[in-house]
Amino acid sequence: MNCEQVHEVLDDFLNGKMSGSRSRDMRLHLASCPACASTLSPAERIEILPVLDETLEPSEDFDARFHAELQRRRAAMSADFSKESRGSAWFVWRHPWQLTAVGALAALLAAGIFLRHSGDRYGLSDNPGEIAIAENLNLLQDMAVINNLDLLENFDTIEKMTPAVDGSQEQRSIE
Amino acid sequence: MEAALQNLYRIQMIEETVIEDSDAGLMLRFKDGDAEAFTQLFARHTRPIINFAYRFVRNRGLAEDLAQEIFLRVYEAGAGYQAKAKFTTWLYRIATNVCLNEIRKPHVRTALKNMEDGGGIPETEISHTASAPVQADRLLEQQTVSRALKRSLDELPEKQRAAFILNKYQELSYGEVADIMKISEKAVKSLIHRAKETLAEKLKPLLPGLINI
Repeated sequence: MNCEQVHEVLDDFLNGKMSGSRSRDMRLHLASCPACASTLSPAERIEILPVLDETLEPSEDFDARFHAELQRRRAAMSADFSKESRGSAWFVWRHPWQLTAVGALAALLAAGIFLRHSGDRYGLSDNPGEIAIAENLNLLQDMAVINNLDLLENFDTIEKMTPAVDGSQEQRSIE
Repeated sequence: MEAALQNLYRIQMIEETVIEDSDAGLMLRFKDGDAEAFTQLFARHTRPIINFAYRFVRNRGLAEDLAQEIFLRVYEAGAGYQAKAKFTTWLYRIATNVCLNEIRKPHVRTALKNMEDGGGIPETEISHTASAPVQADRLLEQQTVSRALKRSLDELPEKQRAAFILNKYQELSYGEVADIMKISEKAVKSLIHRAKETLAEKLKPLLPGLINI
């Protein structure tokens, strides 16, 4: 990268719009070119510092150490897994009566659910509430009569009034 | 000239995209059971990740331990990997979490503080392979800059520090840093601006001489 190229993109660089190798090239140029670096403000010169800082090369045995640790963790994970599996088998072997009790309870529960649903399917109902409603059906029908008692009580009055509405009374009133 | 420059940048961008894509491709191959794909990813990112961790802890042994932990997490998370974001975004999100968690530990803080009080980084831990081509007689000056930078970086609030390291050392754009830290680009810009202001103030005596290095 030369000075002209640096000046073309300096604003983009300072505004964080650059990344990767372009950004690195800018820093390297600014660190080695006093003319370009002198155009930067003190705060902007901070941009140069990262390329002046030390960088580490991985230790020679880093790769080997990583893979050893990876193998160790994988072995530990598979050991944990097999331990869990062994744990389940051990429970079955060690506590057979508990398992039998749990199984019997589950079977009872399943049978109860089955019988209940099969009853529904054949229209059978053991709901005492429904029977009570059926027995009181006549009473419910009578309720309509009870609700209209006022009307029935006044029926005689209506009957008495009926002749007064006929023609003779009309004639009397005309007279 | 401008056209040539733009072409050059376009080519570089394409190359970087290809590398990125191949990173995600390698990770997907690893997810499908190809162990060799993980080996390639590991070889490609070992150096940047060790240096990334080193910026937080300034200790080779600890930086390599952290890098090891980061790659182990990548390995373990491989089965659930989805190429939704750039691979480096995903990788540096893991790396940032691991490093920040480490420096929050009280015993690590104490150890790092003691190391600093004891005169900085032991010479045996520094690999004098700076990115810039510096002459041997400038080495001492470079070490001075590094020590001063280390002290100043350590004093930054952790979010400013992480944003500064990701952007200035790992060469990631503000957008990528925002994705990694799960904050807005504006927030990243603000964090880095404040970090630069603080560093400029602390390193004021060194900055005029920087242009001669």
